[in-house]
Amino acid sequence: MPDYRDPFIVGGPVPPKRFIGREREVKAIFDRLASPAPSPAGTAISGEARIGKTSLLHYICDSQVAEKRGLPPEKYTFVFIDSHTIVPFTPDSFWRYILKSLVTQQVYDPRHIESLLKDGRKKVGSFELDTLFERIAQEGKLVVLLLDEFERVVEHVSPDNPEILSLLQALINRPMRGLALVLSSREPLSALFCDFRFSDSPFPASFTSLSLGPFSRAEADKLIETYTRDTGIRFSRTEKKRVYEVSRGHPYQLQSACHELFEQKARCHQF
Amino acid sequence: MPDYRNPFIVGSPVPPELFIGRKREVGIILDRIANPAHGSTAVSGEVRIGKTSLLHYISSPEVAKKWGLPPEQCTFIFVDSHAIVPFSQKRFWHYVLKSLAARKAYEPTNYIEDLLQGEDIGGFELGELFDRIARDGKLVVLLLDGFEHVVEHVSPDNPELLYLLRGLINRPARGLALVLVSSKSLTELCQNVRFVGSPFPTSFTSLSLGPFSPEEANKLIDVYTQGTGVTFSVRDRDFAYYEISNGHPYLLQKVCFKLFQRHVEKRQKEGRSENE
Repeated sequence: MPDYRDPFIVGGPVPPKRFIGREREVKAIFDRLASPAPSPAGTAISGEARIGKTSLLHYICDSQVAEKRGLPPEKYTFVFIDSHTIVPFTPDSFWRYILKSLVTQQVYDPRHIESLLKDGRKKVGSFELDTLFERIAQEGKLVVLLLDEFERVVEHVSPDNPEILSLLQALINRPMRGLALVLSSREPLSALFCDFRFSDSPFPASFTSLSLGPFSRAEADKLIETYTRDTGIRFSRTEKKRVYEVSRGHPYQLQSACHELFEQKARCHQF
Repeated sequence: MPDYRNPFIVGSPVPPELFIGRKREVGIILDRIANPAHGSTAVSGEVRIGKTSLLHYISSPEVAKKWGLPPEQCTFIFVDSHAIVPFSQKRFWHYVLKSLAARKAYEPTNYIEDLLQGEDIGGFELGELFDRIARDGKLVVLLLDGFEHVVEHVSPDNPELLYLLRGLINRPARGLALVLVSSKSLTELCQNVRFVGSPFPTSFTSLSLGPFSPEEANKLIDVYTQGTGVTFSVRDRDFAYYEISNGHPYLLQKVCFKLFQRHVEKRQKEGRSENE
């Protein structure tokens, strides 16, 4: 009996196994991570709501995907953080969150990191962070921090004294690279920081900008083919063209239009 | 002897075995949860339209099992947000964690108990808990009834709890899915909340519960009156559906309750006359 369960994903990010397309962006990010000294050091992804930024980050940080792209897990540790889950947000809670994630992922001697976290009253200092990532680099490792919803971080930074940004920038620009950053926000960094006063090197200058746009027709067709496989329901050429036109290739709108069409077709099949 | 006990349910949610209709809505919610993305849904609908009954139904083990969500893999936690009094973010998470511990959603349960002993339950700790649940091949589905009560208690300029909920369902390891229920749609509920970055409602599939169709209403009457010895005529059904309830589940149950009562009284009266 065919399975008429709707395979389309409306609303949340897609899991890595269902990730389609974005080959150019994926390659650009992995190439930069694999490079010993990329310039600029970080990557900043931007794109409108539901365009697929979080799905892309989830795909990048999947260990199997990274390994296939030549980034072995013994060397590269991916830490995904949705900045909204750092509550309440303070520079100290931000660093503590990162350090706790490093302990969980066993990137470096957990006793050393736990000693940094031990005194809850004492702030995690820049020297300690600097030393930590240098030691990680000395072991031939790289921590890739994927910071989703980066606006949340920016919201809590003083435009006249953006300390947390200066520290992030310094950490990714060290000669021995122990930390890499992939940021994600709706607006590009240049727009996010238009009111900021950076003393010398502006924060956005340390990042390559990647803007996520709609899917191409080929990507949309591939998504439909992959998702409907084994469901017992097929979309005709005309239907594929129609959902692409309706959605204009926007991933969320495309999944939504496909969901509607799938539901309709499943009802007809059942009837 | 026929059983004249009135089978209609007025005012409270119907138990899963007496749940009728809503096939499309049940399919959408459970398809989303069963999908590898473990998607979340927001259900809205006017008072007494059957939102809570729907939550009870989808979380019953027999139903969830049909979608490949057996109790050993998927723990449904029903929380009526109004039961968290006085409401605070801390109490909310305590309530959820206590429910998880009680249902043994993650073992060893002392991990959750340790979290409850801690001073503050932060985003990291919650994220780690749901990641662990996901790594064990399990999923927690949190059914939050009366979600307006939650939104009412978040700061419109810094909706931390909503940020956290959204962040937890959007983690790479998906250990949590949400089904939210409120009278107003999520977009309407959150219209005065200022979100930095992704707005909370965009992470949910929206579903609006409407009245029953005439077919659903007829099925309800058939199922409920079965074995009672009372049959509703076409006239009764038309009166209940078109003249009184317009398919609103609460009004339908109420008018059917009264019609049933009237039928029984009539029969009892007829019985007494025969005896005399």
